[in-house]
Amino acid sequence: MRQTRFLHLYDGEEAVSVGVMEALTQDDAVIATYREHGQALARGVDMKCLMAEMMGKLNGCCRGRGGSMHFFDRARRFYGGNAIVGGGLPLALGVALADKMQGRSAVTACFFGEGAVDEGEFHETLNLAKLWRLPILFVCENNLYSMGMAVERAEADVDFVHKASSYKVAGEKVDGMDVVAVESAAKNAVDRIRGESDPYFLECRTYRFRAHSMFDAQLYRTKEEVEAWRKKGPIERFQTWLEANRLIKPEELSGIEKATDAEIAEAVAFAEAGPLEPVSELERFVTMAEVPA
Amino acid sequence: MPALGADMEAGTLVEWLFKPGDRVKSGDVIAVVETQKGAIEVEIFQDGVVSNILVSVGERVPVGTVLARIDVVEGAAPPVAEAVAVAAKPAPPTLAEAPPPRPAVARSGRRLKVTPAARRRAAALNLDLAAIVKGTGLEGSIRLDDVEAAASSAKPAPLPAKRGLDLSVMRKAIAAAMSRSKREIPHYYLTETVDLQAASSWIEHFNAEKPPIERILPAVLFLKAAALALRDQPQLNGAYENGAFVPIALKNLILSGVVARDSLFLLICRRSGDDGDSDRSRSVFL
Amino acid sequence: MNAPQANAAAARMTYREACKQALRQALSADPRVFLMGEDIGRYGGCYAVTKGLLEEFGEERIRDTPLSESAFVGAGVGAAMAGMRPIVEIMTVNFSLLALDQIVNNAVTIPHMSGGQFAIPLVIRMATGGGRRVAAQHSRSLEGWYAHIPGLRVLTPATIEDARFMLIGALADPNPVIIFEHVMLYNMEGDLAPDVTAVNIERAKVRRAGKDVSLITYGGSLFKALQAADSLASEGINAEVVDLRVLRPLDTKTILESVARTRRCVIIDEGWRSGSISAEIGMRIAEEAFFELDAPLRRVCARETPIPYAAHLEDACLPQPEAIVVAARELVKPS
Repeated sequence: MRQTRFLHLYDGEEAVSVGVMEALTQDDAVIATYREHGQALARGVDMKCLMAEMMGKLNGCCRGRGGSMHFFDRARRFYGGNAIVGGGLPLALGVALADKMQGRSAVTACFFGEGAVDEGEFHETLNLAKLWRLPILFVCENNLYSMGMAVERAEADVDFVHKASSYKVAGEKVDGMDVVAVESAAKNAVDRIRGESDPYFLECRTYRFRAHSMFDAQLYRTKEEVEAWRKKGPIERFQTWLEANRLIKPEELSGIEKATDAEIAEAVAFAEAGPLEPVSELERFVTMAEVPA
Repeated sequence: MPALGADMEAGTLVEWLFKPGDRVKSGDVIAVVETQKGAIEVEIFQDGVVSNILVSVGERVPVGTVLARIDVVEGAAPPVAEAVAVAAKPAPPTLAEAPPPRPAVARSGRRLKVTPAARRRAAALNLDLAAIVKGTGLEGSIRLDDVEAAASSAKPAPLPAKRGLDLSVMRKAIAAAMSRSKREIPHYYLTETVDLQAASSWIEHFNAEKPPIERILPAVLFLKAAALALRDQPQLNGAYENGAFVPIALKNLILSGVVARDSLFLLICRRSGDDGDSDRSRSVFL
Repeated sequence: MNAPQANAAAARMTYREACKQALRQALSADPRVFLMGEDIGRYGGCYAVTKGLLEEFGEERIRDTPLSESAFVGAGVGAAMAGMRPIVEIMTVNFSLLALDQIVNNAVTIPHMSGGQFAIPLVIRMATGGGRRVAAQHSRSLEGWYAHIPGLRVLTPATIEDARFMLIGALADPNPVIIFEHVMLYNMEGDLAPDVTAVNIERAKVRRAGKDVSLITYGGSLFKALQAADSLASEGINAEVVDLRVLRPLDTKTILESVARTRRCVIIDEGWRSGSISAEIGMRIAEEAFFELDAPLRRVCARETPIPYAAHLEDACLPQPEAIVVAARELVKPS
């Protein structure tokens, strides 16, 4: 492993990103958190650029400036990676507001963990999103732990949809380990948002198989619990379902696996071959000479 | 030893799950490492065979230390698979530019409070700050006004003396004397070409067995020739004063003065008498 | 950009009115410009700066917000990223502490962190300063804090002209700009010269030329410095007054040129002295004009206490013309 700073892996939560992205178009906008590999990949950001970014290389999506926690891709309306829990929610307000004021029918999908619900910014944002009728899909990835803090120990009320409804924001809870369920719920939500110009809240119950970050001894949960969730993992589950319903053939499956392995290998090679940004460029983009077109 | 956090510097190896000779595959947990945050499993990302274990159970090693060597099968990956070494962040270079240094001014003995601007002005005026009795600036500091006042009222102080020689006084004396001689004494120039081969061979021969302190320079021969010529032509050795020619006794001949560093070197040729004995050149230190 | 309403003669107006005219010009010229802030619409603005704008430009563009600094400042950042030109009003710098996350973690990092993919052409206006007997939580001057952050431009208009035209310059800047309006200046009246239609947002300005000492200041303290300069003149001390206008990036050149002329310097800063913008200015002078100095550097700042409510205490706490006179006199004519 050649990237050893902050690294927040998404294993186990794949169904949420994939399901939601399926419901979005290229004109929609996405705001994510520091645990954003899934969102970025599902959005279509090139794996090579992401890998290079994680290695701090110039051919990374952000010239190596942001790293694992701060992916940006203007062309795909991927507005970051935010390392402050809850910090992306007000940004979503602004992006959605700008789209609405400029007559675009885009939806902004704002991803955040259940920990963000504890920050004041969540409450300010939900209130304002409803008040101004902004086209935002709030996707709460409830993976049951904010770093080491279990959700029952952090929330007076563990019903997140209820919290959203206190701002009159409609919402529902969905099984975040079931990609078909997530996609279905997301599609309905996006249609509703576009039709009514109102925000919507989607709580996705999911689980992260890996530690919060690389430097986490996971003292707060048992191995047995992790194992139990792994058995319900989204990829495994979807694959089993496809096989049981004869929707996929064994050779198609192995084809996908081979292609993915190749894509990963290509990405690693691209990243390793990438140069480093010259130190002389350090102050570039502290201020911008112009607003990019 | 992987760096599992930005501030991790070392870790303790607490368990090996494989031994040399074992096969491992990508995703296997190969060891357990104890850190400040608790025990963390270290995964391997290659397929291969463990060949050496380099760190034993219980050892605490810095981040970057090779823990084990694995022979990778299928030759896809580099021959040594090791946990990634990560060094601490290098200190960012400072980007401040230093202003160009200004010339320092020599101080006199006691400690003076002088503003930077006053100090510069005093240096430019060649003014001794010690001559300013009282500064009118804050904390008794000498400031520009004080320097200007001192410069306009007083004459510039002589520079401190070193080894008994006051260079500026000496230079003034030299300048005055040279100017006067140029003004008052008519100068006449005659050029002659002389073959010095015999002379330089003689000097070489003379100096050959002498220690350096007793050797003579070619100038000595010129001095002697001049002295002999003046002895033979006394009408050239004198001066006109008050309308009459006054001869000058040929005692000592001063050839030249050379100012080097703080000193004036004078070459004086002492007369040794008419027996034509070799004259000695001697340098005299003033 | 349309030319501002032409005034044949010099127009007399308050600082408040100048701010409002600037906003009107901006809203009229560019449909992407819109305002967000607490009580800017129906209430007419806490300091009456935006009075009448809601009626003129409508609710879509003059958006009253709930008391959610973080949300609406972050919304400003997001909207700027997505093509708009928002002007966000934070009622006072004291409340901006609730929006620090969005300003410091988002607004100024995104251009650099994204490798130049996004600019944040956001303008934030804040009232600042003390002198109105509104006590410690409403009287701070934190301009110096913001001047610490790379990526921000910090403006401190102190004159009618700057209040009128700095906003337009700020909107043209592709980067986040914070404009500080000192609360004691809103009622100030002055003339706007008819031939001025724009100002720069880069340079400091010598408001009063002098030769004995440089009084370097910004914002609400400018007029205290000018008043001090008048007092000093009656004692035969000819003070130069420099209005910084821009706290980040500082116009070091103008500052150094002034100090090279006068060789003495008093910095006046309504913030607390420790780690303030006066410390930064003093350090730059020490770094780059050390050999010009004919006296130590001096500054007049707020006393290091929370700003008190009682009038006499507040007066004692904030920089006053008398303190500036004393500091300058001591440098020129030490006793």
